[in-house]
Amino acid sequence: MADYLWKLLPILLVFGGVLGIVPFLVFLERKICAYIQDRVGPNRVGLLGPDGFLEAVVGVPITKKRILGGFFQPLADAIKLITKEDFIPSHAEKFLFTMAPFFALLPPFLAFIVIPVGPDVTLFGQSVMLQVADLNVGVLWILAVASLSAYGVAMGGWASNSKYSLLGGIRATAQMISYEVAMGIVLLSVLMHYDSVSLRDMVGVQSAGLGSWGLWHQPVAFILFVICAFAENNRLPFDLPECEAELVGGYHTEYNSMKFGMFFQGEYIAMLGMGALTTALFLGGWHFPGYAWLKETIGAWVTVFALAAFAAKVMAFVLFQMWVRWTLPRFRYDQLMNLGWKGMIPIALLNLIVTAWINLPKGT
Amino acid sequence: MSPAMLLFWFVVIVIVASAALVVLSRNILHAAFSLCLCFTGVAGIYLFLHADFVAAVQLIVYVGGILVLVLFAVMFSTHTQEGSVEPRRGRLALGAGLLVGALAFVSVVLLVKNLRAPINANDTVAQARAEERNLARLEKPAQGEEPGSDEEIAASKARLEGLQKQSEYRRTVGVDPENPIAERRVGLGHLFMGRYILPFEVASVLILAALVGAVVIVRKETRA
Repeated sequence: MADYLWKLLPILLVFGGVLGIVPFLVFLERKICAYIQDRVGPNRVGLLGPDGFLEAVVGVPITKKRILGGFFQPLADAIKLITKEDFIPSHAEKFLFTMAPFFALLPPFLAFIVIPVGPDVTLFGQSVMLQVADLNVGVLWILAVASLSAYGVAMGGWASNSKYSLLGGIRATAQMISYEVAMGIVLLSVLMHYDSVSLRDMVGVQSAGLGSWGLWHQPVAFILFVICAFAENNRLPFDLPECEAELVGGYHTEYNSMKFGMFFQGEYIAMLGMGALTTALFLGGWHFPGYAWLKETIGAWVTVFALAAFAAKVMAFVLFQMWVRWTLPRFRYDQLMNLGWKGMIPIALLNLIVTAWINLPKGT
Repeated sequence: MSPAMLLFWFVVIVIVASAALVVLSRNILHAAFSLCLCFTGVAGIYLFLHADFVAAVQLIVYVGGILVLVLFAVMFSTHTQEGSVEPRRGRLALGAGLLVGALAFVSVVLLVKNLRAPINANDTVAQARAEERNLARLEKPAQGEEPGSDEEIAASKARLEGLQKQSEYRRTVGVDPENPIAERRVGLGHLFMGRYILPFEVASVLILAALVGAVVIVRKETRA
């Protein structure tokens, strides 16, 4: 029984951390977007002051100065989404319409299972692995789960029974399938480099300082993987499934209240997941320069720094995704398909062959 | 009933129910989504058989690849309205269906009955060790215990030899008996690229032929 309870620690750490950080990411995205577009962004709902969150609870103004202005906007949004009427269009297919948001939210969560967020720690004499499960199939699990994420979008698009949604759903499935092929081939060359499918082993290989990070050994794979990550998450410049100018809102046109909120959350969790995966595969996981020295100096407390290093790398990748989103324009559909099938896949195959050729002497 | 058994029966019920829905549903999109559930359940059965690699591949290839393509095709088709797919009723169709079903059932039963032990070096090695201990106990019993009869010792030796042969075979196909779970993938790879290379390649040529055929059928004629 105690073993089961200890297993709960990484689960709570990972899932609670992910859920807790999503509202913050939404705030960050809106602020960054505003900064890039030379606007102010959300600055009203703060802690204290006019429109402040505490004052809304108390009911009387406390101060005239806004404190943490806009920081509590996601909280206000969440309250709005939850209390809104849960409306299902009469022409929609009710069962699938209700199921779709769950299918959109679940796969990104499942991907986190195999990601190691930190080194093993010893708590109260019990060794705890900071990874929910070190599955034998390792990184293949991520591919399997990523391929499931097409279902939420396809289901939502079809069940809404509207042309915009259907087109968005169809675009999303086509795009996800195309870029999953390239992603699979890229991951193959990464597997060859690390000679393991376990993400734990991969992070272990990258423990020997900055030079051992996957980024330097598989640069082509890194670039291709980042592009695939954008396409898999349907983020700009690959956001054709929700393309406002053509499709109103794509697959979630007909969704509102918390059902829409779940699609939205799923997208941000997928962003985090891709960030965590990129960190584990290419950016050295929770390792940082000076880890060994710090471990000798302060002992077990180094875990805190390792977790912080992991979080910092993931956040850096997420910020990069936001920066790109508000900087680059959207692809045209044929450009997207050309890039996927005629650009990414041949380069990924070439990279695979070169990697195999380099790593062949190692294996025999 | 243990939790694992409960889970197993849950998976079985999901598979059978969703498979029935695939056949009985009038709406082909519902049938496609049920097929997704069915394939996922089959991946669960693979997990129960300790074939985690096959389970992952089942999810990647069938659930994530083939079925998404099926959905894609179904969403484009005009026959997605309720009741647009009329099930064929008739004695001939019913009889043919029952016959095919019965044949499939019989072949599966025969297959399972004649199935050899799966590649599970862990079990073989563990069994061999247990048999070694058993033999030692029979030959040199502890104080106060009866030594085994000659027949018992001979039977134990025969079993041990068989088990050792099996684990030896597994070692030659690349399954490391000391670390069986992590190495099962390796064994699978060796079998595919060694012993079963011919069927593997024939299957891929078949798929390639189907792919080329599909392109030829769909392609527009550009020249007269």
